[in-house]
Amino acid sequence: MIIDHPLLGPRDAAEFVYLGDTALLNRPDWQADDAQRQFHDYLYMRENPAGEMRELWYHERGDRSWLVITRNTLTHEITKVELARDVVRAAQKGRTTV
Amino acid sequence: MSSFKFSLEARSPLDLYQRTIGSVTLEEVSDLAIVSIAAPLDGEAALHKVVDKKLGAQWPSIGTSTLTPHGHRLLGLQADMIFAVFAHPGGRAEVSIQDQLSADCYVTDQSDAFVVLAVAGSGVTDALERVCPLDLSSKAFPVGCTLQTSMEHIGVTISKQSEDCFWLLAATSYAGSLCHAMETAVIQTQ
Repeated sequence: MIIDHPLLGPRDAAEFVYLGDTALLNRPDWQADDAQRQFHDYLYMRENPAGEMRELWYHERGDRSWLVITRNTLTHEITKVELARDVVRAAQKGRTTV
Repeated sequence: MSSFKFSLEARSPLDLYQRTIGSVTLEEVSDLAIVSIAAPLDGEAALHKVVDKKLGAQWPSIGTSTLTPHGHRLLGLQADMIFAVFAHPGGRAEVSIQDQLSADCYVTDQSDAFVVLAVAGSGVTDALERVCPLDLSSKAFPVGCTLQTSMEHIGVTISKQSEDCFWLLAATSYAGSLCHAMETAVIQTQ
């Protein structure tokens, strides 16, 4: 599988480490009244879609960047690759979740 | 009570290894200081200007390298972090960089963490293609190009010094493995 890195171009997937759902970027507020329930969901509850999914990948054998990759779990087709840094900054600007 | 007199002698990871196989020479590059310079969050643009002004060379974009008038080679490894590689036989290389820059940035001496193996000679690209997954053709990988990748099981930074000379930077603990991988690749292609 080839991942088209936004800064480095096409790179072999062997250079990357897979982490999982981008939901991990939405860390709950630890001071919220229901923080315990939110952190439970944050840590353990995952969607498992058969189709398009947004995932976190780490370019360990490269520039050490975190990427948000939109991948079809049925076909492995990658339709979008973004720097996680840019995704988070855009979300912070719009005050939305990732 | 007895007293002991002894002295410690610094040795390079490959003990100044050098070997020529056919037209390709493998040689450890020693006495190099490697210092990482990282920008604080949202401080990238300011640091780029300081590096340009104080070191006399542009902050290299990721995948490229630049050379300062004093012979510091700047390797663009990450969007917000570069390596400065320069001859510096003594210790505390990071202090010299910090003093020169005197700016808001994170400067760390990496010299003892890396081994630098130079592979040079005609046919060097053929040997490297055995172990390196990157496109090393002159068009895709021109002189100065510097990228991190995986060779066999080893994380390697490959930097093209001239048309037939590459530097390979790997963690010191992989020095022997990198040397073996490259020797094997050169033997297979000569």
